[in-house]
Amino acid sequence: MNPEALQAKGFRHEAFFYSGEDEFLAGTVPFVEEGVRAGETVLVVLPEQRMQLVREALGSTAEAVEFWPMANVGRNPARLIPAWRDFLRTCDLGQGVRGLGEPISAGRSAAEVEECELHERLFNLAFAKERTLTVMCPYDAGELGDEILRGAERSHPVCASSHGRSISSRYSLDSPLSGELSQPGRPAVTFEFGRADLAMVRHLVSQCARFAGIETRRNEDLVLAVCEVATNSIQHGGGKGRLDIWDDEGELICAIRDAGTIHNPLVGCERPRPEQEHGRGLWLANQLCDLVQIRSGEAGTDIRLRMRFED
Amino acid sequence: MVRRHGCIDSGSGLGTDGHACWAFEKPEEFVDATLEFFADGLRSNQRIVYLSGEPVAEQRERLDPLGEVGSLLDDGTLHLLELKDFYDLGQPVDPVAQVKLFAAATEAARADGFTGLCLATQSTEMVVEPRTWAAHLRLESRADQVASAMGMSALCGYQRDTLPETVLGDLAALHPTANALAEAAPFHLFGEAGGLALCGEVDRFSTPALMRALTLAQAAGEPTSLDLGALRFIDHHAFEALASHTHRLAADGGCIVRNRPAHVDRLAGLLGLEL
Repeated sequence: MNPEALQAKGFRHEAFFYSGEDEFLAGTVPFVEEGVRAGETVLVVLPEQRMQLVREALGSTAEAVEFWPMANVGRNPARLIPAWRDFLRTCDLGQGVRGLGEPISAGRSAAEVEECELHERLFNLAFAKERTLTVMCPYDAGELGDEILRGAERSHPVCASSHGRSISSRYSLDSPLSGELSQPGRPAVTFEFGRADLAMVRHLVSQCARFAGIETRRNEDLVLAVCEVATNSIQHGGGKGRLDIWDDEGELICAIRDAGTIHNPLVGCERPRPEQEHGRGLWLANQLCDLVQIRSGEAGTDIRLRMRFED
Repeated sequence: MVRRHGCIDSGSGLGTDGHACWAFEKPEEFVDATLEFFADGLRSNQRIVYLSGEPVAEQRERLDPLGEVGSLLDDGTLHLLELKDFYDLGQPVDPVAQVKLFAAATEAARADGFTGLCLATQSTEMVVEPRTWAAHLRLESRADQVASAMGMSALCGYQRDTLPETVLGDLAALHPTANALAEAAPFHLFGEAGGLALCGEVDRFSTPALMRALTLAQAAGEPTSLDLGALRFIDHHAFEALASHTHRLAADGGCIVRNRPAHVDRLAGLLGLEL
């Protein structure tokens, strides 16, 4: 689908490049005010500090706006699409819905930025059929690197700045899950597993997590997430898989690789319907882990589940 | 959770309400476990009963390491019984009648001044025929629920090469404890406080075994409870199956789920399902 067609259908998803607080407010506040004036439902999902800036600048208009801190809802960016989906269910879509969301900001790790970019691309797929949804994603051009800004151009059909708006020539919807994740560090544990080995998978993950200081609830969450993904390998990825565990900059990383191919790029990003037979494992993994990275192609599937040492 | 549960490597320490599945390669391995089990029974002043397919003279010889076997037999502390005198071997047992027999034997032991019954059964010959398996599984579950409440402990021996791994796993799952069968029975479903308790781990691949165990142990129309306090792990496949089971029971007698661990509550919340 080309950007013009997306715009014509009424789904608008644009990046807004700003530099400094003044440009940020000059672009975002009128966008929110326009939505409120038009009777649209407006949701703002921003890092805490910028959320306060917008709230203050809006004055009494802020009362008509819903605010969600990005740290709560988008720590793992794969939780953003189901959160938006839930929000849309509460809205009068006939009146229109407007969103302001800044998933990528300084302080995000490289892996988080990668997944935020993927989220932005998947957002186009997830909401392509929405006819009255307008979303603006601010990018701090003064703080973020050129590669991140080029990524924003690839994931947004329209890009705007203080100089105006334009259709992005880099925009693409091609194979969002293709590509490779960075090479892992030296794994502390490597384990080839099959159907009879899930208990050992759980034991290894739990022990490594405990060694990293990840205890109780988060330990259980990581064990469940890895077990769900390993189960998928056995069921859909050729009957077996490989688990690698290593740590990197305060995170424990559990990688599951298998020979299967994931064809639905939105896997794990949509809340499963009750009657749905498959799709719960990766969705749960996204709810349980700090970050989940999924890459899949004809050569196989590589999934990394990340949990910070400290909550 | 009071009763001992999980994997064991000895016949001792099971408690006076213990119930263990003991899989063995050679009959001597079961006798060794029985000697440990009986030593506990004697210390707890239980009547000890050995039931197997062997003639009584052979049983007596096997239990000789207990010491003073003659006196134990003479004063009624030890009973040696042959399976053929109690069962029509090769035919399915009647679980209800059998459990009544256990209850009566335990009552008799109490009437004779013992604290209860300590029963070791080398059950292999009862399950040689596949047609006996379903009733025998029902017997193990029913006996466990009754025994746990009336002061009877039991050690049940099964020769590995007599039974398929799945049946052995199902038997182990219906005892609160089992020896070295963690792979075949990663969970145990057993009697506890008048209801049932589920311990261990259940994932996608042990879910069918859990459903078989629940169906055997929780008959429709009988109100019951399920204690999850010792459930270490459950994945979404097993949780959904468990939820379906409890919902079915809710329409027909009811099932109260007790002591849900925090990880079960979180999974329920994420799946939007209740037990």
